[in-house]
Amino acid sequence: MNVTKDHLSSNPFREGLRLEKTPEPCAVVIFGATGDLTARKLMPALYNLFLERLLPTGFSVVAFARREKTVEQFRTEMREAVSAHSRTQPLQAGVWRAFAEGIFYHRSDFRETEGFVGLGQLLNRIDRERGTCGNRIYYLATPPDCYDDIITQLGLAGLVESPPRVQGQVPDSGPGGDDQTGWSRIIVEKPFGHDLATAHGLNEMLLSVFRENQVYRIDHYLGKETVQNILIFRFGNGIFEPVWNRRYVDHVQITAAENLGVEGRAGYFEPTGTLRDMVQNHLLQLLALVAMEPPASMEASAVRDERLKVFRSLHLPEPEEIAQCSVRGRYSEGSLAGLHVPGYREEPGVAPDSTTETFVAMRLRIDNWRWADVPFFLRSGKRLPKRVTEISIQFKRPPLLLFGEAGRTVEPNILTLRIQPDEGISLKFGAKLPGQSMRLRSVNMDFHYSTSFGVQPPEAYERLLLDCMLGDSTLFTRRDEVEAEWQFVDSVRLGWQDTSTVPLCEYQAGTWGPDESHALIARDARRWRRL
Amino acid sequence: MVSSATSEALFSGQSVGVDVTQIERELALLWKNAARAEEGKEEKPNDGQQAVMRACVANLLIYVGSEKGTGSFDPEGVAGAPGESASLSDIITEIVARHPCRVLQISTHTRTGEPPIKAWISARCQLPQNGKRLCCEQINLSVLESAMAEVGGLVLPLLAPDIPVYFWWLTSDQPQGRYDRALDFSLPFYEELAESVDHVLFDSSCLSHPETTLVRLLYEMDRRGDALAFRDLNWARLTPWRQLTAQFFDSSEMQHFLSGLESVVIEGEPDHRPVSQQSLLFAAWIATRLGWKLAATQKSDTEWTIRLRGQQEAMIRIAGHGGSGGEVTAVQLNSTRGEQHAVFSVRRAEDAISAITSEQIGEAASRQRRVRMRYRTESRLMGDELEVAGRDVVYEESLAMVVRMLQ
Repeated sequence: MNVTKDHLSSNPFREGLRLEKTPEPCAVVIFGATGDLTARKLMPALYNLFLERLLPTGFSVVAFARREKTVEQFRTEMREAVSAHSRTQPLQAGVWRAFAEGIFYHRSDFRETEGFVGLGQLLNRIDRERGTCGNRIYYLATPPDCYDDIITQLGLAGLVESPPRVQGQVPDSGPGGDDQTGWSRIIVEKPFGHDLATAHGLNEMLLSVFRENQVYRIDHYLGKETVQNILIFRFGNGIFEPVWNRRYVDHVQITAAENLGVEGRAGYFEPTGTLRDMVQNHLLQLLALVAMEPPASMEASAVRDERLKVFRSLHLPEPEEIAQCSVRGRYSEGSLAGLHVPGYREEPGVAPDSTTETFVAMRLRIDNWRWADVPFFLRSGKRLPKRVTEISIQFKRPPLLLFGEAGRTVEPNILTLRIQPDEGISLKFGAKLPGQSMRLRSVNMDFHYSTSFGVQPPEAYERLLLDCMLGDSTLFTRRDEVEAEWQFVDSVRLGWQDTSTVPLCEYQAGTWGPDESHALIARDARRWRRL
Repeated sequence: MVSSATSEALFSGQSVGVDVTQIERELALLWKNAARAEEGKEEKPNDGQQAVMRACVANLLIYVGSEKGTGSFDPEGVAGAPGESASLSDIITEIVARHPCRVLQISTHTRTGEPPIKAWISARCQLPQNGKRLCCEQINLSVLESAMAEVGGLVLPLLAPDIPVYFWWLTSDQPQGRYDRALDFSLPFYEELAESVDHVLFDSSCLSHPETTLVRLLYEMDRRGDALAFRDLNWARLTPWRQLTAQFFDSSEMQHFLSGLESVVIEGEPDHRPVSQQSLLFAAWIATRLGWKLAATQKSDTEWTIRLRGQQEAMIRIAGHGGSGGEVTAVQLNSTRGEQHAVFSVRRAEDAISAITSEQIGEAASRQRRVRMRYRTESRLMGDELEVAGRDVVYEESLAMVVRMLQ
């Protein structure tokens, strides 16, 4: 059984209903369900989907983890977690009880074959009792080093549906062989590998058990309303796209700044660093949405094809170019919001001789007809003065500056897409100051989500989980995208191997990164926006 | 004239009477004073006052009919949850929190010896997370009934330009504090306003003579076409019922039960009639979506039986019992396909904030779930409707079926 959008549209009761997304019954199996991600994000997201009547009858969650626990214990813990972290408050007791009836707990090690056989039995029982029809989503909420075991065991236990391939047809899902029916999908959390080779290995391993269209690589940035709005803004309006090119755009800046440090996640961050943690996925995905061509349709493959083209057009810097187009930094002790904060190497869990970067600034080139010679500046870092993510498109100045001296005070037009916080869009333009003399000043025309739409947007995970249940992979990253991103990141890392040409520059916590970052953009006669 | 002092009073929720011919000027002064206060604040940032931001994404024109009593107008009794009521002012506050609007509220009076049209302005403010007070304007117009023909010419220049115009058509003095004379298309300002309005919002549960009013409404829908969309809050209340019913048939395996659908039972509270307008709308929705034609309607004091013809004969029974809010309380769809019988049902739970859905196929145990189904307040309904643009063809088709059923 399969519900696609075609099936939805063939349901006559769906016509005219604003809410068109209700997936068919399924079970979500969360591996590593006792972890933080489940408590803080996944379970609140599923509860809110249930609350909004977006989940089907029989929807079930199977928590798969190593810790000994009873189902009741786990349900109680999840109730507390949802009470604490759900965007909708307070928890509705009756609805929670109905939702919790569909939560199950299965204890096993990820390497135990019997554990996966038991999982299969539990899922079959849920199919019989709750009508989930053999439809499963496997969510890998574990450290990446567990992926191999879980995926292998899922395959060995026959828990992945694999329909016969028909030439010329790539079925998304359908009845499987043997006694297996329904569809199977897997959601993989980042990091998708550590470099191109490991990403390739992870993909090969995933694809030894699943088909690519069963794999959903989640980047929660893509589920944010403001990120989705980039496509609406660009392709849903007639006035921006004509100027969205090298003829009118001077340069683009993408900033993802955090004021936090590693916050107890040194174990994850130390071997990762900002380039892998932020640039490889979030920033490059934002870049792709800003730079891509209009897709042929909003179908997943069409959108992802266009994103991929951007990655393939990225100029891969040669090692000798790296010093000119990248800066890496590490925060030292400083002051933030009036508090003294330690340097990165003094953070708990960080090696005193750590060489991990906590800041990256880059100048990128997209070698295609639309963006040739338009620099894209990216920067991301920890312990910067504030938490802000934004994309700003700086337009070229008018060809002729009238208004004499007064005209020189006007800044170029800047279109800013604020991703978080204070989500919105603003356009900076010049205006005449009231008075007899000709004086100009730059003013902002602002759109704020919070003031135009007084509703609370759904969490990114709600949107992404629902999309996966519906089989819509538009907001997930495809294998070739991931590998193209790593190819770029690897070329940067290769250049960084020579620490004498690209040193790890110190910056004081609470500042906008090392001086070299400002020098990087100044070489192009531009400057970072003051945020 | 609005002074700095009165500006602060306005921003704190009070209304100020203004000259009818100077409304825009007074509003401009209001914002100018706010901007001056903001500049002053920059010099002394810790004076405890929040900066004011003006926001407006739509015009919300509200016609409330005749004023009660002779004092300043504060209409009470727009229905909230069953048995509850919220003042119109509270409802507007909630609407503008979601959709910042310029609100124009028009009421009528019969007091002679006063100016035929009086105006007040006020600001509705909230404090979002970013710390700036977000404010919208409200203009209240009190019009002598004999001067109603002037309303169109007064209101049109006051609409904020180039943003949608929603006309919420309330009227007065219905039983249970609801409003009457809704959709009186003969009102002198209607024709003039209709040219500048994008959406008319009304509540068909308040119609005292639906048989005639709905016929006229259908005529208006046809006449205005895409230029004017009519949106019924009573239809909006059915949205969760429609969603939950539709969900039963989302999977291709269940869709074949649609062609075997033989009977539908709708239970609902009476409104001012034993069978509520909302129950009829739901029945009509089922019938039109399945392409059923009306064959006959039998009416008794407590229930209606509607016979329809589709691929096979079908029946919809509407039973009225329970409270008096006019709300649908339960729906059951029975289908037989071959040897297999299926029953799908949605029933409002006793906790009043959830519903129980159930599907039983053949001999298998029924599958149930509890889902949230909160009572949606008037402000919530209005907020939802302000998110939608354009005509609702499914509603219009259902309404036409309701008219046939009523006849």
